[in-house]
Amino acid sequence: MMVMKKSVSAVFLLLVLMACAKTSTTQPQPIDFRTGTQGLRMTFIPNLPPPKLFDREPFNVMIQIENLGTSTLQSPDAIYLSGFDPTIITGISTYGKPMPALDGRGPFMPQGGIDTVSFTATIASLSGRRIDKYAPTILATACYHYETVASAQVCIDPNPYAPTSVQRVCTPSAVSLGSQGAPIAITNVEVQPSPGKTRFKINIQNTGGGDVFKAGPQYLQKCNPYNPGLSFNEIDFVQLLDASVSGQSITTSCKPLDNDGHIRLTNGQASLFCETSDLLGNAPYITPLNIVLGYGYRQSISTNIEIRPIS
Amino acid sequence: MKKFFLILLLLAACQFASQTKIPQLPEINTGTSAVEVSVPSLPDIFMCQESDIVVGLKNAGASDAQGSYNFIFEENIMKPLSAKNGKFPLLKGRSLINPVGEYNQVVLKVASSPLEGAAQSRQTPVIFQACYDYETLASVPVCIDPDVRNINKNKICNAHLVSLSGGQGAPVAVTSVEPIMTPTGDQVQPGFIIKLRNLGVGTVFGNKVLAEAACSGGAGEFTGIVDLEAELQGVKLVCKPGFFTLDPNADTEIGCTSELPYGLAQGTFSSVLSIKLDYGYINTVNMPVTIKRLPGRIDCSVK
Repeated sequence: MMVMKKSVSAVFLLLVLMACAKTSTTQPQPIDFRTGTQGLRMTFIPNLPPPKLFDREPFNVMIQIENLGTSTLQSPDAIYLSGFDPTIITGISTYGKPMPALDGRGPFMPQGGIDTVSFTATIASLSGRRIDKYAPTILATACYHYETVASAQVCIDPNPYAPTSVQRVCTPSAVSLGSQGAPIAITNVEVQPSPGKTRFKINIQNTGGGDVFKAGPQYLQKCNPYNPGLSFNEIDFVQLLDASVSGQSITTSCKPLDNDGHIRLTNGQASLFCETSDLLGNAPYITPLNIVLGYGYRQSISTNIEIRPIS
Repeated sequence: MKKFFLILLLLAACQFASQTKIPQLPEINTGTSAVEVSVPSLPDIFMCQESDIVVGLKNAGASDAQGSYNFIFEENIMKPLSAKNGKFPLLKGRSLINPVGEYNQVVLKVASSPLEGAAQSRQTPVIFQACYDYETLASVPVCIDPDVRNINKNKICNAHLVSLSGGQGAPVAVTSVEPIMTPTGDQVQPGFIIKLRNLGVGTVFGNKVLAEAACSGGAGEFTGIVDLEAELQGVKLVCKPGFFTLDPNADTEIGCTSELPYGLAQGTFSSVLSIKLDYGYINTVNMPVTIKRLPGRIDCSVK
């Protein structure tokens, strides 16, 4: 019996020691956070609004917003509710609701900010207006500013056609980037080397499923569904905020850009051509090409409701 | 063991409870009927006997109905012992609290005359007419779209033709509504082409008074006349013509326009075009009645 008790105590002690060994601290590792094709995710909170309602009832809508990307969302970004007859669903502001500040994902923050935006209204009497059923589609539209930051490791060869037997560390070729945690993605960068100059073809794509428009508060206001709206010359544009190779800006070399640095997307895609002459030495080398794009983005979700007169 | 079964029962009960659904509201404003005339049991009438001809009236539509009725028959074959015509009581239409509509009966008491010669039976028509005022209330979902140039790609709806099938709980039905957004400066003036048709089994008359007169054999020239009112956002539209004659064989088109313009600042939204049609309606039912001779009976004299 004594032997049995001793062995149980020994096993217990061993377990305690093993548990202590596990407590050794590990340093948090930065994560590769610039992935994903979405900026904001909006969802209606279940039953807000309810699918079926009666007239003269309060009408409450609550939308959950989540920043899935890497940029920060904040006012003057806004969310609007539209698509309904304002004489039936009354009290919803046409100026929308300001977007609560939502941080994007970061190297030590695997999840972006989450919050809710709510709208409260009243449903007018339907029976007095001889309406037996009103079944609108409620549209929630988010208009926000977002940025795409991409970094590609490109191979620069200052003298690509030189007859030399020097060992090359790299050969200039296209670099695939995928997505960068934003609805506008720089999908790949093609490198075209020539003696003393390297050109880049930067391919941009709208992968977020929404509408992209020119960056700026005036365009954000026009995104409001109660405003005259964004014109053809304002929609499908992104602004090049910065392009740099080895820390040297090459933004001014990029084409085709308008006076404000915007490039037009056709069928959701565009190609930007930039070049650098500021090459280091004669041997090929790998260096980061950084690109920053800014733009306004509009996306929407909808839900169907049905309102009936109470009697 | 008992406890085990008890727990099992409780769990099963929970499963059933989770399957319950919120009951659906009945659809009231559907169908193409108004007052439906039925003959519960058409009796054989025996020669020289008194009989009751019972007719059922059921308001299967969504509007209330009140009007008059009229029996037409050969009075030399059947003598009326009660009023041939009169007013039938108010029949409430279908509603959320009575989704089937109200029912009532009218009775005609008759006594048959003797059959001629040695005839054992004879068939004679009895025509029943119900004449009443009726309303069609149609709530048509329409899109008000001031963005006629389609600048906004993110619109909730587009102004397009709305087809309506199955009626609105009344015999005269709105079959389609075509919205037309007419640009006026930087705004639009919504207009609607409303198509109507009598999908019921009866005849449309001018109004209740005229319909009742028709039940008495007059006012035939007012067949098909309907009054129309349309509202958008609680504001009456200008409809031309406001009252009109319904084509019995085809859709009748009416144009209504909003006097209020709508601008881009109001956005694109779905609303309801509320249409009210007012008309008289007549249902006619022909029921053949058979008069039979009782065995051995020669005439109506009391033996």
